[in-house]
Amino acid sequence: MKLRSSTVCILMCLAIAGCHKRSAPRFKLSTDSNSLARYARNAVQDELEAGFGTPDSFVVWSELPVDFGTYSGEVGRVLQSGEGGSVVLSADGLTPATELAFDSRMQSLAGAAVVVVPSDPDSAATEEGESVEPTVLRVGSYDSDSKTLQIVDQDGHSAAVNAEKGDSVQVVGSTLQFGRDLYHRHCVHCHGTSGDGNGPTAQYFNVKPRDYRRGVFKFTSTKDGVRASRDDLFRIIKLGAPGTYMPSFMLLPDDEVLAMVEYVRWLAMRGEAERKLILSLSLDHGKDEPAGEASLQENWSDYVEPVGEELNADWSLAEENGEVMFPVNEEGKSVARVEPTAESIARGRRLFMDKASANCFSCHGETARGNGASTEVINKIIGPEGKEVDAPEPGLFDVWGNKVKPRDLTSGIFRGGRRPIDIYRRIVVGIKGTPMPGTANKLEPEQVWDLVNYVLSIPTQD
Amino acid sequence: MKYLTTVLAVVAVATVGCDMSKIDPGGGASAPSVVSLRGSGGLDLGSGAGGGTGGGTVVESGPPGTLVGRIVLDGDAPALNALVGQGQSSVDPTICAADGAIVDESLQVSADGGLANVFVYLSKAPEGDFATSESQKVLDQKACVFLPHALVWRSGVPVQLINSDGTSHNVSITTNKNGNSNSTMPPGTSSEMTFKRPEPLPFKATCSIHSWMSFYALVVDHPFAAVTDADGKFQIANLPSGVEYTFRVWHEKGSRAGRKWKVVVNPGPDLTNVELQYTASDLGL
Repeated sequence: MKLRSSTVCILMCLAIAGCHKRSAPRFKLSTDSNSLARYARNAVQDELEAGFGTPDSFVVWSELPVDFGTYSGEVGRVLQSGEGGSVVLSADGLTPATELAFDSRMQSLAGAAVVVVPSDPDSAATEEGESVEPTVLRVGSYDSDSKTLQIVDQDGHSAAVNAEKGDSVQVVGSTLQFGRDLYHRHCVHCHGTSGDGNGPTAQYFNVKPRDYRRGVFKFTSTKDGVRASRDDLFRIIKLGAPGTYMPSFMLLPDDEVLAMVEYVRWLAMRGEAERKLILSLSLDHGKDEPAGEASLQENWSDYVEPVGEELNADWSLAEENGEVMFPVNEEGKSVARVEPTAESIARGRRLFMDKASANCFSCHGETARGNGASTEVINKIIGPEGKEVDAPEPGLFDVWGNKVKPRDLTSGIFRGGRRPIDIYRRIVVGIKGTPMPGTANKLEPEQVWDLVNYVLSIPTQD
Repeated sequence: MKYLTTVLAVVAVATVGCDMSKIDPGGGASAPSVVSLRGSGGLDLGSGAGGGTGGGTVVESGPPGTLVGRIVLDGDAPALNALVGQGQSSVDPTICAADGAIVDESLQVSADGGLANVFVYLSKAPEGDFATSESQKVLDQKACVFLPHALVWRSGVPVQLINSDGTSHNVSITTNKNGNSNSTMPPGTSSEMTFKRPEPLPFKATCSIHSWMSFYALVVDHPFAAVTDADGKFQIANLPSGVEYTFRVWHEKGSRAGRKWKVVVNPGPDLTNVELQYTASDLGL
């Protein structure tokens, strides 16, 4: 009996020990990184963790155009007790300082970063007059009734707070935390922890979940060459992508969807940074003839510096009003939808069939079933050895390497939205990352509306 | 029996517990998360972030010289099948491959071995100001072929795309640094594009409607880049002499990163004349 219970005991110990061995979660590196020398691969991982962190320990990188969620307040009183540092804030307590810092979500600030900025800059300077970076601590909890902010150190232990009445307090990062919690509840099983579109469920789908890591989203209101805007991502989360496995999250409150959008944008930026770093490093630090670790360190800023700047420029551009495609003429005047008369539909049909104009039928087919002549061509794809090879069967491919069919327009199902303006934008902007081109400025807005009227009439025609 | 059940239960707990740890990390929504800052975290912290210093080395360079060279394929080039046989096109058969087959330009070798469409370029501009006065190469689409098949463009300077065919084409571009673009070009129209940033490697562009069509373009922020002609020859002028340069030599059939080639340029009219060889295995043939 003694032996038996000790066996059970040992097994239990093993069970507990085994589970405690779990290491801190990290984002999986893209398989592209396998082309790099080991030291270069490690450098990519380290740089990404310095700029973005891990799935449950974020870095707020100021260069990124992400609203991490910032609240601010002013110190009224400092309390130090056995529980650690707390500050009582003055009358307003914490108030949202950025657009996506939600009033309603202040209860869940725990874990967000806290910075106390002295009201008197001299008090934070050294004797030599150099300014000292304020220490970054974390929120233990926030009580909005007593306006008390309990502050802990990086490891969650109680911390002394170096603050005085009148100092300003900033709390940052809560929106991304909120978005991350929601992403892990609603999105991760298809889109994966790193947003690689390869969560556990993805293997069962033949319309693959979006892999965000190229920074490319298919259905946008933004012009050719411009990233997706927050509005675009908000719409597709709310409405889903009909005809695919992407469901609608219409029942979630807006602030939850906005927080998820921000987390998805952040994952996309992380993926893009990863892709760009791997590409530039692969030129000199690939597995074959790597230039060596010393050379990597010497030229490190050449590899890294452009990444943050480029992410900032590209993702900020997508939020500018001028980058959204609206039906306007050359003078910039809005062009209303042409009445969907039989004449307009007939004009649209002629444009659809005109190889010297929109040329839709080459891919969508004369009967608009998505079976045009271009789908009969054998394309080049990237083979297992990284070289281009002929695809095993005819058809078109997107930038993710998935075979895609031109939409069967008789079905009446439009993944990017079914409003006339959605179809208008699909025609003018195209579907990003796929062979579907946009017509850009090559058609007049009235012609595009004729095409919209034709496309919307197809499902009801004999 | 009771003992066995207990052991099994414990083992089950152990297994389940440990399997949990194999799930894609971070999968638990309830796991607590924490935040730290990089840079100022977007906050006004009252102190400037430290700026990095450029690690440029100053080099004593001589008067400019010209690099003239040739790239040859060592060994026999395999015969490639036509992309589209004459009269065989399923798309626009009256325009594409109507008067002759569309040849595969991915490997063009002259009778004496010169390898065409090889990019030879400096990955990083040397110190100095290199204004451009040259006009940019125009990209044409004719008989369902992009002309030329390989070209160099300068960043920040608009490039022109034209369509000389009687059918609409579209230029689908997927770059590493300049984003993606894909727009339709009806016959007789032209488009202007500006690539803002230099690219580390040439990118491939295709036509989605006629998907055998492709070309390669490299965007650089300096004039020291060339593409070999039909004889495999290239020329790069006005390079400060006496400096060792590392050129990247890249061909679409070669390795993804291309090859590195170090050379010192002679000053003045004494041209630095070089010949580089690619073997069939370099190109994975």
